[in-house]
Amino acid sequence: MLPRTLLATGLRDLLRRPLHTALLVLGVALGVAVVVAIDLAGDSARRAFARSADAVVGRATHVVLGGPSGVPVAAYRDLRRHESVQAAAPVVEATAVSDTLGRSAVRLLGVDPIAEGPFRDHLGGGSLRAPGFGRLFTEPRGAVLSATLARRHGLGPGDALSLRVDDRRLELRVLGLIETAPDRAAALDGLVLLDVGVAQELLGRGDRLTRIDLILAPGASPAAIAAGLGPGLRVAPASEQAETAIQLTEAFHLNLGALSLLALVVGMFLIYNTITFSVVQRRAVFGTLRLLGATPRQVFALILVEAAAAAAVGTLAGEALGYVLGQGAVRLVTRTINDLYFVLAVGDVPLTAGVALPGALLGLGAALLAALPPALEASRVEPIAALRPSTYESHARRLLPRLASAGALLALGGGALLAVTDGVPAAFGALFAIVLGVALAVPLLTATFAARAAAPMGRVAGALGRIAARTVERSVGRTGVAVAALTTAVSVTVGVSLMIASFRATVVNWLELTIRADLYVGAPSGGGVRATPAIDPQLPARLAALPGVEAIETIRRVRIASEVGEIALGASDLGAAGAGLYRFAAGSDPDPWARVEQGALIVSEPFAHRHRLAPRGASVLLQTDRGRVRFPVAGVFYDYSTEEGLVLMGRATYERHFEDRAVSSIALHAAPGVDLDALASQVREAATGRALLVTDNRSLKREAMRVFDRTFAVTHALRLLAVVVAFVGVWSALMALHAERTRELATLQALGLTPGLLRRLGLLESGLMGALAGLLSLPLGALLAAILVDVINVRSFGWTMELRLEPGLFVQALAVSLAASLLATVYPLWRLSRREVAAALRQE
Amino acid sequence: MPALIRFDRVSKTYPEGDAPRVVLREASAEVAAGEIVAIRGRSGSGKSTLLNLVAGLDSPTSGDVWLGDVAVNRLSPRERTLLRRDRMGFVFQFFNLIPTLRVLENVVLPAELAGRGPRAARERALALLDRVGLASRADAFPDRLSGGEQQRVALARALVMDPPLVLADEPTGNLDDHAGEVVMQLLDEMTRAAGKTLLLVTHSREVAARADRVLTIEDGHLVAPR
Amino acid sequence: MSAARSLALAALLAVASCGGPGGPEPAPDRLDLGGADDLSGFARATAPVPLRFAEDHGPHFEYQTEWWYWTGHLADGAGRAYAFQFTIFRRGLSPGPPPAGPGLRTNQVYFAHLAITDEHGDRHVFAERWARGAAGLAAAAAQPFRVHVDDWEATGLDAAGAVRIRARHADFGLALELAPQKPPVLHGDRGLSPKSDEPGNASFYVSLTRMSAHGRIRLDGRELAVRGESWFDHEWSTSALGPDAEGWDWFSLQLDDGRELMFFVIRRRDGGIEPASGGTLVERDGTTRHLGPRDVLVQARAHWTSPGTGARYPASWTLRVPSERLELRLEPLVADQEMRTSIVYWEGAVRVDGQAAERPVAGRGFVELSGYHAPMQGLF
Repeated sequence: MLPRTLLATGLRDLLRRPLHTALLVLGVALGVAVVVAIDLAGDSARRAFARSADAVVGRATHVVLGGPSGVPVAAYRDLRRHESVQAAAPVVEATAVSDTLGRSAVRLLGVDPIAEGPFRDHLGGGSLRAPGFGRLFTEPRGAVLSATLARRHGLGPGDALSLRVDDRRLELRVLGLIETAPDRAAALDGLVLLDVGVAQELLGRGDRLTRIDLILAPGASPAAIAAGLGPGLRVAPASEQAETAIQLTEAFHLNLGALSLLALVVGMFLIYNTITFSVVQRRAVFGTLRLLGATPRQVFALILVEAAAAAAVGTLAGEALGYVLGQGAVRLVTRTINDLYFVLAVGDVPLTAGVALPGALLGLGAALLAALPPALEASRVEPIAALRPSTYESHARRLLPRLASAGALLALGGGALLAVTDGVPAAFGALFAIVLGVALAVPLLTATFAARAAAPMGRVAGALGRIAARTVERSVGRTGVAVAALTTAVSVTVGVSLMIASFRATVVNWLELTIRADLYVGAPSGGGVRATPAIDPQLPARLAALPGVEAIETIRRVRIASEVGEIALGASDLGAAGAGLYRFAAGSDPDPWARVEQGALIVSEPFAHRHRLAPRGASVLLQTDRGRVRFPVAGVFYDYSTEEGLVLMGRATYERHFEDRAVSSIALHAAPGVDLDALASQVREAATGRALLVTDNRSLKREAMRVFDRTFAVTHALRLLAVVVAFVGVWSALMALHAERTRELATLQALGLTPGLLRRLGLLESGLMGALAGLLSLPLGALLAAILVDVINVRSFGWTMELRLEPGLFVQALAVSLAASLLATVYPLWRLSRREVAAALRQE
Repeated sequence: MPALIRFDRVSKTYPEGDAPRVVLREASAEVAAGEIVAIRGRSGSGKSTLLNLVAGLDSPTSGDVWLGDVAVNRLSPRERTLLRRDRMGFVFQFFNLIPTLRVLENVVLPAELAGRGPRAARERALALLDRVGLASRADAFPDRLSGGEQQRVALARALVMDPPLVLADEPTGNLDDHAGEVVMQLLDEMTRAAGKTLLLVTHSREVAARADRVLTIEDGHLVAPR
Repeated sequence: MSAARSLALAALLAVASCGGPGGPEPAPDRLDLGGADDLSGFARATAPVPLRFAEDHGPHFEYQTEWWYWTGHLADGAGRAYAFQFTIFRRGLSPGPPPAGPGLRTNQVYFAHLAITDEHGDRHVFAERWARGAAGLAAAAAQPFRVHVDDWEATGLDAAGAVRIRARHADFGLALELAPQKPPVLHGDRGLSPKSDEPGNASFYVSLTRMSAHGRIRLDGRELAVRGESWFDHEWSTSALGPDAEGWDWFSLQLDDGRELMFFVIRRRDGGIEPASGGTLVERDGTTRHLGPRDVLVQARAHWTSPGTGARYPASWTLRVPSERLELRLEPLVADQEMRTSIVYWEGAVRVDGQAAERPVAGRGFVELSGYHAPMQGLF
């Protein structure tokens, strides 16, 4: 279809324009690199998680789980004798933070070396024959690590290993190292193994285990086995815990994926602009080709082939770059997951076909898609263009009203979609439709606005002002696209910034409300949202007895099973004081806290939203140590600490149904006039030997906001990206514009337009475009923010947020818009002023 | 001789904003097969327009343009493409060579687009290049050639498909006197020798002198010289 | 794309399976704990100690290794012959009793073996259990006497050493009451039974050489009432075997003239025999006579190779005690009575017949053959 010579026409052009081709390659590489990097990070995180879950679960088919107090050893004793149980192994598990291992969170795993055989191979299937085997049992603080982990931190047998678990400091000794095959090393990364009896003692667990792993005989009935256990115990499939953990990160991974697609869109935009520009520049060549007999379809195909060639190179570069970026992305993703969700250690990060191939396909596909409009434009070049420049503009101008009506329809359709549907994908679709719809209408608005701006601009800036306005209006095919791109980018930035600002303000207010005590005592030991550190139950009383302490409150946070899966449960002993700390959503019981004292629950908004609970009349079935109990729900409260949702009950209720007596954090109210620093020292003294963190009110709020800001750090990248997009859009539109206007500009130059005046003209044009884009982005940005806050956020998480239209952000938007636009003019103007007048005039 | 080209009361008006520009007013003329006809006129008088109409690059506002027994302005764009490809050769003022193709590739391009066999096309192209004296520059890129050399390549390209009609728009407009003389000499010889029709737009007296007949456009009409 | 991947995988598997029977096993993790066990804290059997019963039927936590070992011959109502072995082993990882506490912390590891031989069915079934000595999983106590691993247990019935033993695995098991007919036999020098010439390479070794047995055994899920006679061994030591020992052949015989014979030969790696090998002859009235290595002549008359492990064991014997004018032939009830457990050994019921001072004599016995699959050094 494309004869060799025709192909050479296009492909050699790529080689002759290194900058242009570089931009094309960059556009593809950028999109592919980000997609691959994020995909790699997510993929590695998922695989690492699966491996570490495997390492922990091993070949177990089922597990026996209990409440916050764990599973009694007696259950293990009985299960060993059960005829349906082929093998059973006791496990004690805890999350710990280790300074020796670089402050990272690790998992402590206490196992029975002689019961491990059927389940896990970490202990090498130890036997009495293995020298030193007995030391696992007899050393009171012996631990075993993977050789890879140990060597990474310079540890060897006999070295000390310090850990913080719950409120305890443990000084362990490395007994030995596990040598694994390289592909299994990652699975054991982050694990510290102990004898289960030693672990129980060190962690003060008494006769409790975290769980019992089971291998059931085929055909065995887990329900029958569970029936024989105590009321607080249950038998679950071995994969359940891993699945729960994975679900927590699904939203996180989804957001990352969306971000990567965004990068692809940006790359596509870059490609679109670059190819468009080159098409405009080569109009005469296309005309000649058509004249010589090339069909429109051949010209179309030629552009696509050029795009594909550049995309191929860009994809390769992107894959390589993505691999490199991915290493860093993995670290970021791992850290966030560690912070927010659970312990994860990722070892190697290989570029698998599963990641590389979709990235490549996306890159090529996106490039071809982005090349379609300019390819179409090129194919429509009339043969007469060989002799004389374009009729593009008239063609474009005819399209404007139709485009605008299509846009209006699309935007209205989006609005309707929003009103009619219920889910989150529909909301995002509606958002996209609205943004796109407005973008389609922008060129018409540009032309109209520019036309009306001619007179006022003439008054302000003389003839140049008028020319600038008229140029923007006349070349709306180019300027309209630039303004649309700029508007979209800036309004997305504005919308997201407003959403984050609103969220932040809401969280700050909420923190003001809930963090009222003077000092807080906690036991941070890693593990994110699933960690349930336990503080010695005797401590609150000891602290309450300190002079200067007016009142204390405790809260216990645990994870328990319920009819809707594993949930976070809080037990608070606030009593009447609690009423003031929680604000309840409409529809809740008139006095929810009183009901809580009587044994009801209150749930946070995300919980109610996720599990579709009405604020009143609802109930939740929880698995307690005394069996399954259904609790009434008295109200829905505002809480922003986790998107998973939280269930709260009174401490008395908790102690009635659970054996656990520990606390997770203690809040101290100081008597008036007491020096807080002194009190903090006293608290630390009272807790000597324990690994506790004492924080004051202000630091806690600061820390909370720090985590908040860190979580949203990724969106800064998004906003930066948007501005880059805008910049590129304006820049290439201006380049194309100047390429088409060289004759006109040269005429002006011959008529006396000095380079200085030419610069002023250019700045006036782009200033007008920037101003227009900025103005348009304000209402659009506000609309986006409103949709994000009131629709998408609510549908995703159920949080109530107050939309704050901060004027500062609007001013910022205008400034960014203008700045991007003006900056984008610099290079095109510079190039323009260097062209020879004569050469341009020659086309007469 | 039978008329190859016939302008039948052709009018062309360009709508430029509020003041349309009338370029041709009911212009009529005939060109016989094998004739060399020059069209002269002032700048902007519509000389190129006439050429464009014959080539089907533009359409008359009214009237018909006949090429043989085909009304060019009534053909579909595709038919016009084929017509141009198979039956016309073009020489332009600014040469219009494809900058990313070598000299030989430029000449071969129309034949390749028409689907001719690559070897036969190459041979013919080389023969033509040889005829215009540029066989030794077959592998060079156009930006390495002088204006005159580029125009000679364009001439070879125009003839590669052996079209019965050659349209030349200010072929010497961008050349100095000597180069222009060389090009015109070749153009004259190569078209006359093969019995081709040559329609030539020029403002040069010397170039027009080579023609069998000169037409002038005055005030939108085609007139014979006095 | 996933289709392509599965195709590639299938191709890979096909190629791999062509290569040989099963692919390579994934390399297991290796745990390097460095260093040998520290035995310095344990007591060693160097000199006789006064043994008191019933306390000394119980555990001796100052010593590293200990076992309680019941074997016996039984017959059901139809006269069919069965035999059983029930053993509980204790291994201390550090000297002293296990720490008290509600959790699983311990320094004792227990394992137990159960085996039943069915002569009529020509088969031998066996099972093994392992547990740590904590939280009621496994334990040993003297008063009241109870040694158990999970629900395999031996419970004392009186101070003399009568016990009820109970164990079950899948579709076989036993529940027997055993009562001693003679006082405890202290082997060697008042119970100190050397295993090599080095002082300290010895164990304390006590037996109840004739016990009545009655109860039930279970085979193929069916219960059978049985009665017969049983033998109880109890040994405790710390590293009893000498450095050159490879394994032992041990014989316990109950003759129908009311006498019992215990004899062991410790085989050395170089093919020789430990001079400490020996045994005990128990008279009808319970008095005992020590036998030295030259007092008993044992000759293997046939061999049997295990299809399961490839180990080659002696398979029938002639045993002569010239000083007693005893000439006995020992024939296993079933050829394959190999215990293919964590430690592999042959423990089988044998039929005894021969002559005692020119008068015919018959009986039952058990033979234990260890170290034929892998050396016993380092374990005991």
